[in-house]
Amino acid sequence: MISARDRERNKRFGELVLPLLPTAYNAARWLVGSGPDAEDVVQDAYVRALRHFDSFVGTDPRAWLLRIVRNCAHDWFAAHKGARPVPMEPETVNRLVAQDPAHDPESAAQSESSARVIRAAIAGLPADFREVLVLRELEGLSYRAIAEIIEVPIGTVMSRISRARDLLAAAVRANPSVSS
Amino acid sequence: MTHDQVLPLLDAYIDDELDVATSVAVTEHVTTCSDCQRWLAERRVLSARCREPSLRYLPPPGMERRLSLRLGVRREPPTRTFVWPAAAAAALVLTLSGYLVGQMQARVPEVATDLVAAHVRAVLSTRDIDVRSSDHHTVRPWFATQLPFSPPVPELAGGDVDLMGGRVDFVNHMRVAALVYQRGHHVIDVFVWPRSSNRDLRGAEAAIDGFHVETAEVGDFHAAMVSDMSVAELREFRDRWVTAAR
Repeated sequence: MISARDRERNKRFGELVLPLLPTAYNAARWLVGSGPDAEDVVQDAYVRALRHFDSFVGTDPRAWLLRIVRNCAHDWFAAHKGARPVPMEPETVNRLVAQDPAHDPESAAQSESSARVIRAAIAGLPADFREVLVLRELEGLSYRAIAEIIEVPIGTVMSRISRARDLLAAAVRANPSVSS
Repeated sequence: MTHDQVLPLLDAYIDDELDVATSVAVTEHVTTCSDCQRWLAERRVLSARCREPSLRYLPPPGMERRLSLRLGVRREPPTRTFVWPAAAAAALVLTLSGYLVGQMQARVPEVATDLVAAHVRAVLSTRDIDVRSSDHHTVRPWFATQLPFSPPVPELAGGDVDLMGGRVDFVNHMRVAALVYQRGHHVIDVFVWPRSSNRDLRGAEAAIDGFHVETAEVGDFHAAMVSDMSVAELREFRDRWVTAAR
């Protein structure tokens, strides 16, 4: 038997948090590196989020949910010791990038190839930098929201994003055929 | 600011995360520094490439349904704070043209129906705000880039009225600034245009199907407030807005 209070909570959760699934999944997928693992992490995160939904008092359910997703991803890594994906070596990134059909004259193919290059380059970043870059560029979050999610001061977010872009630029530059 | 001071701030500058004073100082340096300009251009290209939508991983098909079943939570249609006025507004849009030829024609000035229609269109649309910010330091310069004038963008003291942002709208045969405020469940649009346009607002105060229009003059500007608040509430808002704008 579900109480009226729980029903009201579930309704609000359905309005506010469930529609954030694409954001949660994308973040988890970039954090843990595989689709099925990301789905597990997101499932756990949602179960946890619903359980603690009463304690959500902020104004930004996205930041709140992403912090839970991040914690679940860390727990997942702890439970699967050794699973933490080591950031790719620069040589690996370069090899992936070099396999791209980047010389295709079709602009659509070029843009697809450009996306593949960027994808490989982001995937090759150390986790701390990959994380802020995904939150900033792919999810469009403010520095304040990112600070809340990864639980560091805003100044740290600022310098980490800057460093992440430096690393990304270097990885892309390492492949001159696609640096345009 | 020196070049070395500016460099570590440039990423936050691109991301629009600097406070206004710092941002102005950075702009001052950047306009005279070709190194910084080149750096910014490269960085913006890189940033744009990261925002390529195909880089986002999408949840596998059926995942939301599986999640929904497991949690016992269904996805409800989103309830925006102004869903109720939006529903009323939908009916209004359908009848507004009828009003013009109906018995109200003589009493409701055209500019008032125009203002209410603009308000309703915005509330109904998913893009009712072009520049979303509660900071007048962000909203005002944005208008200056969109319009040939820079309207007053006051923030109201008291904490019960929030500035939500602004958009450019088309009212009274011209492009005007629309400032969007929210008080409780009410959205208030303040339309602003220069008095030099010679399109005045005399007699535009009106009540149309639950929406009210109030007007004011501030400095060189006409202003018209439109909302589904009561007349008394809207007048109180108008007076506070005028005071804050002076």
